Amino acid sequence: MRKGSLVLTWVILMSLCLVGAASPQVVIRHWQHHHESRTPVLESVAKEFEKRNPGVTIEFEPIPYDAYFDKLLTALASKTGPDVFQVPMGFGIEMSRSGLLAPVPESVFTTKEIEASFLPWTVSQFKYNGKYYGLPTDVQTLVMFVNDTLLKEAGLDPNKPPRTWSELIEQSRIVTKRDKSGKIIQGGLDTRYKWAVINLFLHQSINGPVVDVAKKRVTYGEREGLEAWNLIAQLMTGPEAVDSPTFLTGQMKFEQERAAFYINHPVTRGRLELNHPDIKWSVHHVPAPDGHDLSKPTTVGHHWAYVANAKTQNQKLAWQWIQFLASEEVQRKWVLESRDLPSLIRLVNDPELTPDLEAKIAMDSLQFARPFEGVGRNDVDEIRNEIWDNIVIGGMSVEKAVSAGAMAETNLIQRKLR
Amino acid sequence: MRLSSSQRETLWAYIFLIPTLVLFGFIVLYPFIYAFYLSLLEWGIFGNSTYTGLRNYADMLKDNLFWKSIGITLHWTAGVVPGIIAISLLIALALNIPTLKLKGTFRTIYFIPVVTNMVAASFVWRWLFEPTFGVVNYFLGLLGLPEPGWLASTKWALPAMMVVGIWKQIGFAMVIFLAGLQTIPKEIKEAARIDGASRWQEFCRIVLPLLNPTIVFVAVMLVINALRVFTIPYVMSAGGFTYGVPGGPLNSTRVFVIHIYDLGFRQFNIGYASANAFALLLLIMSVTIIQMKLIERPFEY
Repeated sequence: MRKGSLVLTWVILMSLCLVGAASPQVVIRHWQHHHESRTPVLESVAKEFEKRNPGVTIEFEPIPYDAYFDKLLTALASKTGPDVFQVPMGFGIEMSRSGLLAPVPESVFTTKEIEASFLPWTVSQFKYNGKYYGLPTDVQTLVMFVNDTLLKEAGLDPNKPPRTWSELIEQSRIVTKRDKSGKIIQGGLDTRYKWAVINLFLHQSINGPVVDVAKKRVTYGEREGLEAWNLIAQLMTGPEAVDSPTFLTGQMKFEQERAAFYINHPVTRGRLELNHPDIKWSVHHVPAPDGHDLSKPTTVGHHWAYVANAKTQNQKLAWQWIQFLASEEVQRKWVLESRDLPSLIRLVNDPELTPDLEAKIAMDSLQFARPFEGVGRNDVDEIRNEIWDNIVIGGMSVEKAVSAGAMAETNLIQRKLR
Repeated sequence: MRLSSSQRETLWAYIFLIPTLVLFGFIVLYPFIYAFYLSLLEWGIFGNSTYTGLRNYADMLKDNLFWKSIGITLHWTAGVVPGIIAISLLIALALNIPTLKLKGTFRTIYFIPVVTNMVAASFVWRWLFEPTFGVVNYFLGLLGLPEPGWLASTKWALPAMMVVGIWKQIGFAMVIFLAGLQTIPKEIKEAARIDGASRWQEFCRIVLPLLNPTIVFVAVMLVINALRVFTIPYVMSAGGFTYGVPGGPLNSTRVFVIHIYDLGFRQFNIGYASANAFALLLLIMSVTIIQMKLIERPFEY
């Protein structure tokens, strides 16, 4: 009986050892914010990576966007951060200098290879002291979404959407409907994504830098920047406003078919296809400032980057995983399945990645993209949003609101880059 | 060494306290001390930290947003706490009427908001307060009253959120008041009636004074909750896929905890946020002590 128990114990212990040996030896914890069309792609790519690298598990955690930075930054501060995570390009300059990130190892990509392979603006923010600290993902421009039905109802041709700022104002005003009391009940332009509207107009209007990093200042308080803010005032204030903060406050106006135009990233196509299949929408290039070359409508380029935590125990493997995520094979999936844009130069003109007109316009917009300029994310957004709110809600003059905001952002940059 | 009986008891008392003290040390005392240490640093997550002594505290006192957020929080407290106490006391008095039927049903109905998920409820309230198609403005329109911009207005956003704050906590206060009312001896009320006291006199001279400990407890709890309020203004100003700024529009709903959150987790200025958190602690302690001194009345019967 006693001998039997000993044998049984031995068998159990050996089984446990075998199970331990067979279980994955390395776990890469990967965090990124959730997006309806991006999360499933990452899940399938992670499975593929695990299949090709036996013994490796990608522990993927999609985090709601609202909570993403809270969770990530708290974890990094307490040294419990994930091995791999994504950060927006606005974090690039600060994070690359911070010591929080591991640089791309030469065995994964040399500096020359990175510069020859990727669109320069999708990697430049993550270069510090001759090394790269992140590889691009979620590459986006801004395009204009048009509700074809609303345009037809208003007697406009959905195939001839606004190409200039003046046409945007004109067509938006035609589509806008009001009730007897003058309240907007159907908007021309859905401006709830203020980041897109503000930054598109600023980057289109200002020919030089929007943020002069060398001089540690913003330039949008000057004449060209003021033109952009004046356009916002025209669209949002007065009896001919085409949207209002009190019209469907905090609601998705375009998705509810209550607004005809919407400026957002190409990835929005994925969300609209999944969640709003009944809406008849089309994608177009953004309208350009009057007098600009209409064949090259400037748009804003924005991307996130996958980075490796400097504290990770598996730095090489973490970078191999990022290398896979940024590879041609996976970028094709990002483009075709989640509606991202590619960062690899050789994919930009690949006809296989533009199976329809919407995809072609989104891909073409990459040619006209200038990268977003801003040192930071939420803090920068808050300052620019406050200028908007001061003009639109507070009734402040454009000059006064912009002057105060430009000074606040310049102070912020000087504090961060001192 | 032989211990006396009382010494042994004391020793055992401390032995039994050890688990709680250890837990308290790890989850309260250590974070508390560490937060104070952080408040003496200039530390912006992405960079190295620098010891700056009390500079964060000095900067805080010169910061307009600090004073603005304190003002908004006190405004919230002054509106929400008396509102909850008045309404919940009335409901508790009504539910305490011996002849009332369906008491249990009413209690459940009034208590439902307390157990409702605050984030979900805030989203629903946001729809109700939507200025163009929302239910609240629809009824105001039917009555011929002005239809405010609610959450899009710097003047009306805070009152709209305060309505939700009151709605959420009425049930909590009502249950405690009801328990307090049921502890008042019937004999005292009966004696007053025999002596010819009216209902109003009975309420003012007997019920309210005897309910004083309950009122003090409820008021202290509600004031602490009000000074720490976060979820309602956060979700109603910025929750979901709306790209809103927490505490907006134009900082008109920037209660103190949102101010701390913004400094710490959106601007990544952890040292300064910690200093502000200590200011909140001081504020809560001071208000609670003043409040207890002012409204607590000793009584005996």
